[in-house]
Amino acid sequence: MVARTHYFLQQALRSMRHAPWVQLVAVSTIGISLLVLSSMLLVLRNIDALSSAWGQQVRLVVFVRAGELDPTRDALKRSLAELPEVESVAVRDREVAFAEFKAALGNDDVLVDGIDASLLPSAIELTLRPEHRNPAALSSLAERVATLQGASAIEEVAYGQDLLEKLSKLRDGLRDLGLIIATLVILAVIFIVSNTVRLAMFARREEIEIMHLVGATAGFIRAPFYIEGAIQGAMGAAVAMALLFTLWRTLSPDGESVLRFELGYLPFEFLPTPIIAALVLGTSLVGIIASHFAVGRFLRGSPSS
Amino acid sequence: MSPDAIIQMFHVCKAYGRGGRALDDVTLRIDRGDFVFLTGPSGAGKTTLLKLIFCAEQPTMGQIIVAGRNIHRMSSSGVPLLRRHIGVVFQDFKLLAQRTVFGNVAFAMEVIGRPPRDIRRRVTTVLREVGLADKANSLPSRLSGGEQQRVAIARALVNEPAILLADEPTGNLDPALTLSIMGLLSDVNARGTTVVVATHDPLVLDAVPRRRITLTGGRVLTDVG
Ligand SMILES: Nc1ncnc2c1ncn2[C@@H]1O[C@H](COP(=O)(O)OP(=O)(O)OP(=O)(O)O)[C@@H](O)[C@H]1O
Ligand SMILES: [Mg+2]
Repeated sequence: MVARTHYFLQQALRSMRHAPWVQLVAVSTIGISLLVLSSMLLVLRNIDALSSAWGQQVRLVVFVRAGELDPTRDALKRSLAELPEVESVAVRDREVAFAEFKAALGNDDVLVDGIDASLLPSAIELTLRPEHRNPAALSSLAERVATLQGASAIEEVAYGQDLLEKLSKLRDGLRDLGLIIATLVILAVIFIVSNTVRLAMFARREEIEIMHLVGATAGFIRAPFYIEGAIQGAMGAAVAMALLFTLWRTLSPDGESVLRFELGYLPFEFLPTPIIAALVLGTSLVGIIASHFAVGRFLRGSPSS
Repeated sequence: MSPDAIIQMFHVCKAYGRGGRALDDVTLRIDRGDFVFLTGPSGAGKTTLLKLIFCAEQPTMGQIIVAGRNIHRMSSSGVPLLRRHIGVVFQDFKLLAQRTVFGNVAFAMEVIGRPPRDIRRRVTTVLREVGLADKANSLPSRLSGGEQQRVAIARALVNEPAILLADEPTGNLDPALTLSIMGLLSDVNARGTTVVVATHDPLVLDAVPRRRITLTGGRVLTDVG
């Protein structure tokens, strides 16, 4: 078994060495197609990272109607504290909020002179347990809060949903685009690999004829070409990963997984290992499928099969 | 069905596409250890008959049994296994130009997955049998036509087939080489291999007095010897 695999590999490499330029063109074309796809994955991944980072920072704030009595508010606070996702609850008092508000406005006291603190809504801030600090948990919790007992006292539930929603729309759009690109890339890889394999088979047509004559099995005849397709796919994907990594290092020179700006930072992580492995294995699988097409078509046309 | 029969055909017809019949109601039997000439004018169906035996073509009608296997009922994975019992030699040798004599013969063992140690031993033996032990490392282009055909015969024999089929094996050779190749095929037959030679060369037919099946227009005209 090991000896046989070694033999097939040897045959595949011999066949590939036979036409190095064809291999170079094939592998670099596959590499560039996959670079497009994997850049897309990199962007998607960091949008995910961004929305989960925001989800972690964001707290759920329940605004209580202005004019609601404190006992109502305290009852609401107790039932919020009983929610399983909630780690802690804090009441931001009207007076405190008002003071902060005033402080924020600085010397323009005149603006707030006419405003009574009791007209401001009071707010209950919920801090979630770490495992629930994500956009999905936030939005489902927000829905549930609206159905709690005493919910009539709630004016609004806020958790930065606008931003998170925009981000998730962007993400969905990119994902759809990514699927289209992935389909095109798969078709391109199939086209490239099946053509190079067809060339390789043509170059070895005499050997193939003799293999048929002396009783080589279909598997024995096909295996080296399947391996060739798999190697081309894997090498193309490896080239794409190398280019993408270089690009990533160039944009984030400290090798950090964030991009720093004057005003803050954005997450900028490289693709995680499982995704890299999946890309390489997936592409070599597509290479095998492409070889299968080419081999089948070639052998159907041969006389002594 | 005789236990001695190694090739049997019953009412075999073969038509290519919509053309006429290349073979028409052929019934014959070749026994283990036989040496048979297949002769007849060009277009008589000699090559077609050989192709049916090693499953390069399927019969349009009739039954063919080769080495105990009914080739009509054989699955596509059965064909390679049957071919390991059959060596085939052609007029144009079909050697691989970039492989040495040794490499060409070894190829037939490599591609059916035989271990390298067996290959080395067996190829050396066969090359000695066909008289090419000293040319093992030459490329085919450096050999005479007769030597090239010996390499092709060595390749056909290396997996120890029960049957050796030869289609005009001397078609490209001069009379002296023709006689030496026929001598080699007789030796092969003497060691127990069933040999079927398709030829219309009178020199070959007269060289060794053997059973002679004559085809004309796809039919068996005579079967003598
Ligand atoms: N692949 C093919 N397609 C169509 N017709 C074919 C094919 N091979 C052979 N024939 C026809 O079948 C008939 C028998 O051909 P075959 O090659 O068996 O004859 P042969 O006896 O070997 O002739 P030769 O002595 O010239 O080699 C001929 O009429 C030929 O034209
Ligand atoms: Mg012929």
